[in-house]
Amino acid sequence: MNPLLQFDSLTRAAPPPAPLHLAIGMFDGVHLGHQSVIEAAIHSARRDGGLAGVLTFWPHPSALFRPKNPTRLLMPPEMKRAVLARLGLDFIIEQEFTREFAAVDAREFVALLQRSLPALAAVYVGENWRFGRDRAGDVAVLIEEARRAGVAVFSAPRLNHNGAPISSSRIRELLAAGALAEANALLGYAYFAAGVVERGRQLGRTLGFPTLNLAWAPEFQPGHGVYAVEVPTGPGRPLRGVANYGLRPTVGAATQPRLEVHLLDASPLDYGAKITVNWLHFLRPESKFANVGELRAQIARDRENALKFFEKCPAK
Amino acid sequence: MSLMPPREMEGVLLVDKPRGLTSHDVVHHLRRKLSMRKIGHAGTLDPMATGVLVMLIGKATRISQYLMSVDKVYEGEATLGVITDSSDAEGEVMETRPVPELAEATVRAAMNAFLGDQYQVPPMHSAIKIGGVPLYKLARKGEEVEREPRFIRVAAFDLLAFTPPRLTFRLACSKGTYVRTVAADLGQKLGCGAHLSALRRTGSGKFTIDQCLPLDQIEALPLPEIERRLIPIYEAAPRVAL
Repeated sequence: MNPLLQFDSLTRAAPPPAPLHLAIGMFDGVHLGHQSVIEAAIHSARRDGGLAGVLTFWPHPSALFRPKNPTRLLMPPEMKRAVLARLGLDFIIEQEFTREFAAVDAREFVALLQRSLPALAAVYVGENWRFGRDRAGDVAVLIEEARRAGVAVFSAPRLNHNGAPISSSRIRELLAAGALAEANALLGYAYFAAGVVERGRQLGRTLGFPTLNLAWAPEFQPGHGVYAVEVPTGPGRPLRGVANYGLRPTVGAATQPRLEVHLLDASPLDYGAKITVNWLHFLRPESKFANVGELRAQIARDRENALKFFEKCPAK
Repeated sequence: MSLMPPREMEGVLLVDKPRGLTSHDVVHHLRRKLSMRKIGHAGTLDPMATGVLVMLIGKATRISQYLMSVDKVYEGEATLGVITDSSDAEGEVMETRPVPELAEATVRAAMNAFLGDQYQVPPMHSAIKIGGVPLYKLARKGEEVEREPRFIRVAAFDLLAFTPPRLTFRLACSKGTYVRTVAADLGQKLGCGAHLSALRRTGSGKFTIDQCLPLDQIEALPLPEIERRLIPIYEAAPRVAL
């Protein structure tokens, strides 16, 4: 497989000469619905010997339109890039969503794409995708303009899960409520945190439960609580762990939630290590304990519950 | 004597429709063969077309809307240079034009332009009703009315053989796609016009032509044999949700 080519704007995009199959969208979370759009592009590209790419945006358009209350992204660009890379794409274009870009007339959008990507063969979008100034462009407009320009359009229907459409906002609600299993089902993979291991306050160590402290500050914050997690460390079995995400109210509340991982397996990891923490199972919400002794007892129970979880569904 | 009423057959029967019969003719044949009334089909094939006709027997008629809405695959033959009023071989020839020298690559490129989502204007010679009147009745009177373009998707449009003026193709498309309109539009794109001279449906959703039995063979089977061929409703219904 070729490495993923990255471009930081449409104007600087220069994929190799081949018919281009381009999936377009915000794709926050890259959930199953997004994956169906992107996989259609990959499938067609493999079929006609072309290249499959994604055109995506940052920040979220709401940052422009309602700056006081923007949509909190499930994933920062580098996490989104990591998930997209796993899908088998050839290139990705991360276009800054500027005022100028937002002002492009919907009727001009396909021409704008073609100026940067003359070999554009087809575009792939979700059926509810909107684009252009005032969100005036929908799939019908796209079909009209693209066909005139000789570009094919493939719109993917929204996917349902348990009778309701899969959406990034539904996943946010589930994560906020600690409904991790269902959020993971809609994502099609385990929700994860990625960051560098930092020196913490050494509190866990004194409690008898040393933890890895992760520098991780996502825009959207999942529900505070305790989770069973795994930390992949290259090929082979990932390390199993119990993670606390929250303000640590018992030992002096922090102002920003932190992610701390207590590993159940012997760990070769040290400060400065770049790790990914896959969230597998919600154990309990965060709560404040009367004293450190109660907290220590609860952590021991969390450890047991996590071990029970891993016994039932062993880490891959 | 049993007090129970005789149990009616139910399920999906996959028929390879012969040329020359309407889809309803097939319904009629099966009603006679199975001595029951509740029989329908999931998606009309024109009389000239052959291939997969999904027949719904008994209670299976209830899932007709699910089975009708699936994607279809066709193999067809277009004849270039001959334009008919109905866009197929049943119609009257309106115009003949010389077929230019066409490279296969040119034809393939023209076919590629049909891929993807699009809006298709249904032909005047179709059973679509406007104001309660089927279009073909208006067409026979020589009238032409404005038709609402309909959303369709072409997932694949492949050239299988090109021996001018004949061109055979495979078309994978969404429900409601008029293949003869695609053939006529392709002819127009190539500059000489065309009509659809043969059509065979090779797939309807997950059902394929090799699962189908020709109608005359089905009619020759004893009833228990036919019953054994029925696909149960729960297997035939598509997965509606994940």
